[in-house]
Amino acid sequence: MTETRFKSMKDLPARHLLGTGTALCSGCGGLEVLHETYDLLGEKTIFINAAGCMTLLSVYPYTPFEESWLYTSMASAPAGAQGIRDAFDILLAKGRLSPGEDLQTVVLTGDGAAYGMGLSATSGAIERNLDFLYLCYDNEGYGNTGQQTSAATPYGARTATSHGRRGNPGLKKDLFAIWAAHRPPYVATVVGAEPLDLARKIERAQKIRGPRLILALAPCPTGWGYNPEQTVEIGKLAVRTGIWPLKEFIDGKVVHTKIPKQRLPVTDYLQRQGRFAHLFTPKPNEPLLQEIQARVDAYWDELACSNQNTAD
Amino acid sequence: MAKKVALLQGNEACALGAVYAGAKFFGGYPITPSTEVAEVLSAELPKVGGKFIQMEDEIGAMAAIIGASLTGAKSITATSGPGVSLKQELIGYACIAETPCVIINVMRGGPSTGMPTGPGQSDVMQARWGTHGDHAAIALVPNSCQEIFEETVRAFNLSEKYRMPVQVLFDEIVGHMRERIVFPEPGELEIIDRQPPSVSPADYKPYDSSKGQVPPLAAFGSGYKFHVTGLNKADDGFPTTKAELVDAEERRQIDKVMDNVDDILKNEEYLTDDAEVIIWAYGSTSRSARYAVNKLREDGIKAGLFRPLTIWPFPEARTAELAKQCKAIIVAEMNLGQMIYEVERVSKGDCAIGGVFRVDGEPINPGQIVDKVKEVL
Repeated sequence: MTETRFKSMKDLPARHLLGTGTALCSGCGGLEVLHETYDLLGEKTIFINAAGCMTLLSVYPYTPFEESWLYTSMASAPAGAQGIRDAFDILLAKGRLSPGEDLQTVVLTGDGAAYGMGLSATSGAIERNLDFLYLCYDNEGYGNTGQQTSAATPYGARTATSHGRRGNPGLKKDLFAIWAAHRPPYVATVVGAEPLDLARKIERAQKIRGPRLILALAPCPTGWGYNPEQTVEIGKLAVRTGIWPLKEFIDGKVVHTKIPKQRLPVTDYLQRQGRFAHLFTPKPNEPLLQEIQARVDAYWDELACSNQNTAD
Repeated sequence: MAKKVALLQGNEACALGAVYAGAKFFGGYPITPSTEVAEVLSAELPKVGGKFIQMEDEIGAMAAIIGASLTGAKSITATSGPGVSLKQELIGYACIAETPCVIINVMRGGPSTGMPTGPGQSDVMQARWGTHGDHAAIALVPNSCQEIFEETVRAFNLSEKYRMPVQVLFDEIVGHMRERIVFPEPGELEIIDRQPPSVSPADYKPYDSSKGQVPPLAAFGSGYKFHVTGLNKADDGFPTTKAELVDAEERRQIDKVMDNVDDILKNEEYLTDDAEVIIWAYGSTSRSARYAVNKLREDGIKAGLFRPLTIWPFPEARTAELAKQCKAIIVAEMNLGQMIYEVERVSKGDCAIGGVFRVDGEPINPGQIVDKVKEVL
């Protein structure tokens, strides 16, 4: 890939911008990814947030942010960003704001908004070629209301509204592909547990104008049912089992940025999480586990055949 | 045999009341403080051959329950103020298309996100006038977990009987409070189903009111073919701009409620017979009000409580009578004064009117009401 200033972990920012002590759950994978992204974006960033867990970041009388934020309605964050970006552009054009005073417009939402209610607004913003960055922390359910099923919930996972022996009957929506189908200049998947990969992608996105969309898997100890100290491990397992492919869509092509050489079985990931416990007890649900494994295998087999991959 | 009892949250009682009423379809979206209604129904509806579906947003949830209802399933959704705001266009649609459905609004403060985990009663006017256009509204306001169960059943009955959306509003305090519930036996509470057509499919008109103000309702797929639209329509369901047809349909849809207020209204009165001051309160606030009435009586003030369980249509006649009887009516509500406008309107200056309001996320306590009564008298 192109030049990067992030050759190794040592090149990652040593200073952390996002304030600590927020009301979020310990071990929050969404907070992890926001920390890492904010360090790279820098303080000249305005966040436009939709209803979700991250609305708890800023609670009287504290904020962890260096700049302003707008917490708008569940469906409307990308539309809110349109107004802010356009107004900044007007001020810049009139010379009432110097380029040095301009703020990066960053939409921050969970999967509930990104995969569902806010998808129409996102589609509109991409179509209008809005110059913004979208960071979705995907914890695969409506975390802030107690982990109900969302369009991002994986097949077979139990949630507060999917109780059956087979868990959620739906397939996780392929939001990366949906976003990419709009042909924006940049789309990427990341996970906080792979900070170097994340840093290179944010770096790349910052060099581009127009809609840039980042989909971050956000392991959620509260909603997924695991010990908060395991967030990094769970994130790494999502990548090493091939469940969460790290990739980007750039110049009209999908490029995989980290291909697991020897994929671990999906059970290594699933059995660490309470939301999949029903697949293992009282006895393993082999057909369903095989189905999940087969889907992951099919993804990577298809990729190998299409010859579109680039390993890091 | 002893009746089944349980310690239940108001939201759980609502879900079980819906099942008792014969609900077979829930379309919804998670939102605090109503989410438990959805969570319980996601487990309970499949047990009775019903379906729970989580939609992509509040608008989709409302559209889904309209579709399910027109296909013959008693349908319900549950949300809170911001969700009701999103549903408003389709609530109006359910009014004009005369589609039975139940909308639960577990009220928090507002506007907008407000205080999701705190109580409010600021959606009562939204329940009346939230959707645009002239329309009738039915809204119920239970004040206990037992009553949430029973009023959810009554909401389905009214919805089926009058072929229209019915809203049940309870504040976060009642929604999240846990109380002992005594479950009615099957058949103990009346269950009303919509009136099916008595004519052949060839003669069926979905808005034919020649035999009564509420036209019989067929179900899609039952052999009866009919069109449903949000446009003004004639009795055959097809859109029209003919002035006399539009006028007649609009008026009938309001008259079917206003001509039957005695059937729809439900009030509770406590020590009102000799009361010189009436506390007018609903929902959890009415529980503080009842305590305040007792305290005032101890202090020698003849106080009474008027508690509507139906706030829409508004209990006009009884409120007007009470205004003539007493020196003052004190309206207590967790907003900055909404139902008080209606009380002022119908009391026509016959007595003094005072308000006890609160929007800070805390309940109105009896002391505030007692103080206000002493100030006004």
